[in-house]
Amino acid sequence: MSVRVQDLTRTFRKGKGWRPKGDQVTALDGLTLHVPEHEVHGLLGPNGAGKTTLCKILSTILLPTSGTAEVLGHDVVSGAAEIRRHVGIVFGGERGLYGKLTARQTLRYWAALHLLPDARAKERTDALLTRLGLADKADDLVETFSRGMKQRVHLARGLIGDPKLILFDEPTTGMDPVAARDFRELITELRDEGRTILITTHDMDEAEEVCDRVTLIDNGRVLATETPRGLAEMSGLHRWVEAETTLDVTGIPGVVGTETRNGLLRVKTTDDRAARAVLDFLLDNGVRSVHAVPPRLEDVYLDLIGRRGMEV
Amino acid sequence: MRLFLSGARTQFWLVRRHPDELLTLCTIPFTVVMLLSIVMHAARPDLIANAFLAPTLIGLWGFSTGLAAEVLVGERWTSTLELGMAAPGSLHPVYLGRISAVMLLGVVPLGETWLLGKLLFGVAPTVHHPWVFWAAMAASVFAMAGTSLLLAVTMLLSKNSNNYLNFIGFPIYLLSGVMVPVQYLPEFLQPLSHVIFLSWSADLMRDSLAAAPVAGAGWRLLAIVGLGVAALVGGRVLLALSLRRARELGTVTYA
Ligand SMILES: Nc1ncnc2c1ncn2[C@@H]1O[C@H](COP(=O)(O)OP(=O)(O)OP(=O)(O)O)[C@@H](O)[C@H]1O
Ligand SMILES: [Mg+2]
Repeated sequence: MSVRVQDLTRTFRKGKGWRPKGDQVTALDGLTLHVPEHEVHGLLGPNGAGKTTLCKILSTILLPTSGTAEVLGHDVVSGAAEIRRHVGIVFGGERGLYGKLTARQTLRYWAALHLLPDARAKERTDALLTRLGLADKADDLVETFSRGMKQRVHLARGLIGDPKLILFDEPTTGMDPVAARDFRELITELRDEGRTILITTHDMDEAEEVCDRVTLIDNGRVLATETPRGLAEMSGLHRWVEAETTLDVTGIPGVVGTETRNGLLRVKTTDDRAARAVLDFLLDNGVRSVHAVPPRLEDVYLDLIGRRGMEV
Repeated sequence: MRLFLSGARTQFWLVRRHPDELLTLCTIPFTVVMLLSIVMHAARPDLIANAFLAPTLIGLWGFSTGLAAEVLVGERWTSTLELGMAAPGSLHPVYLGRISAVMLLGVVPLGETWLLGKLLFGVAPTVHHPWVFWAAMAASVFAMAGTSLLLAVTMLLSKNSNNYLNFIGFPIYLLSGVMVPVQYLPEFLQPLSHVIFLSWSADLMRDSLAAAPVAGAGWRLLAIVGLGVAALVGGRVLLALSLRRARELGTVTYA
């Protein structure tokens, strides 16, 4: 097991002074999570759900208030030193970068902090710069990089210590579709190399595509942990059937509603059985392009977390 | 040691790209011209040494507060502090390395002052005891690095660090005797100056420029180094406490 979190609670206190005594904010509230080795695990949840807090505890930046968290078999409190050797963190956006260093200098700096001997640091820096397609720009200042390139610097930095577990905190914020696709490929590669990956994201498509399992978090608690597909099936959400037809299907039992867009009929049904009945009916009537659409992760997310929009 | 050197190297990389942070060097000529003009106009060649030492030491202090003490605040600002906390290497040698690199640059005002004195006024003090002079300078740079670490951690903890830093320069200039020799200050202030290493530096360097033999150079050097070590240890302990506290509270700032 790469990550074993049991009843983890983390609170913050507002206020001033060496020991603030103000109001208490609960970021994690009895969270339990198990991530086996070689898994790509997604953490989904609205703003303020506690995703970053969890990442920080797992990377030993923060201490738990109560409960336990083990990373690679070491406790985050008593085994922090051991954990730091084998865990990499990748932030998104601007934070965590030195704009006035070049990509190469950035990696050399972090290689030193990861206690790599000089020769190995050089070797690994070159290898990572090449791997992430930064070799051409290795000696340009990071501040001159585009967002996608900065993200690659983040990635290279996170990989410098050859981590067994990588924590990604919103890695694809601000990436264009091409960069995002490259990123997804990289995640798969990293998993195939035997690493475990924990990734927080607001991008449902991304989670659905790269994650073996996802955990939905809200208010510091786990709502569900499942494969993206399993979650969809478990959720009991409506199944949709799509077909290019003008036939009327409203009489079929289990059909909740229909809508037509650009000549495409979309039928909302209560469950798999009803969806199959609609499919059969359409096929029997000679309609060719027909398919059933399972609910997407995004639908499940919206259903479970609620359509809260901006409100957090 | 490797971490220390890596920190120092990184700081040189950073400073090279931030020439505006070397602005301290541009303030030196003003002090030099101001002080030397007064001294020359008053025809007090005995005070020339003072006029040279003041910009040199003020420059050293300027690098400390202007650059070195900002190192940790910058780390907080860029979130690299958090990333550093999650790295296996310990942070204090890295940060001390970065601070020490800045303090090495702090020797530049010395050359600048001498050069300007020669060029603009055609004077330069004779260094009668060069060994004492350079030993005092080296000890001062060391002590300044230790003090900078302490200042840097204090900055990290406070929210309005800049105001505080700007303020603290004035009492330090006064008490350290870099401008006015300490024996001219009101008597009750004089004992305070003994805990400020710069006052020992200024005294010893002044004596090393004079023809008379320097009394007790050894223990005076020791005082500078000792105060430096005290600040270094203090800074080190305070940094460890601050990082521990940051892990507990999720914030490093105190206020
Ligand atoms: N250092 C801190 N001090 C005080 N409160 C904090 C601190 N860090 C997080 N919190 C609070 O804990 C809660 C969880 O925050 P967290 O950053 O973990 O959420 P998140 O899931 O990462 O959100 P987002 O999607 O916006 O990144 C929030 O209410 C936040 O205000
Ligand atoms: Mg977050």
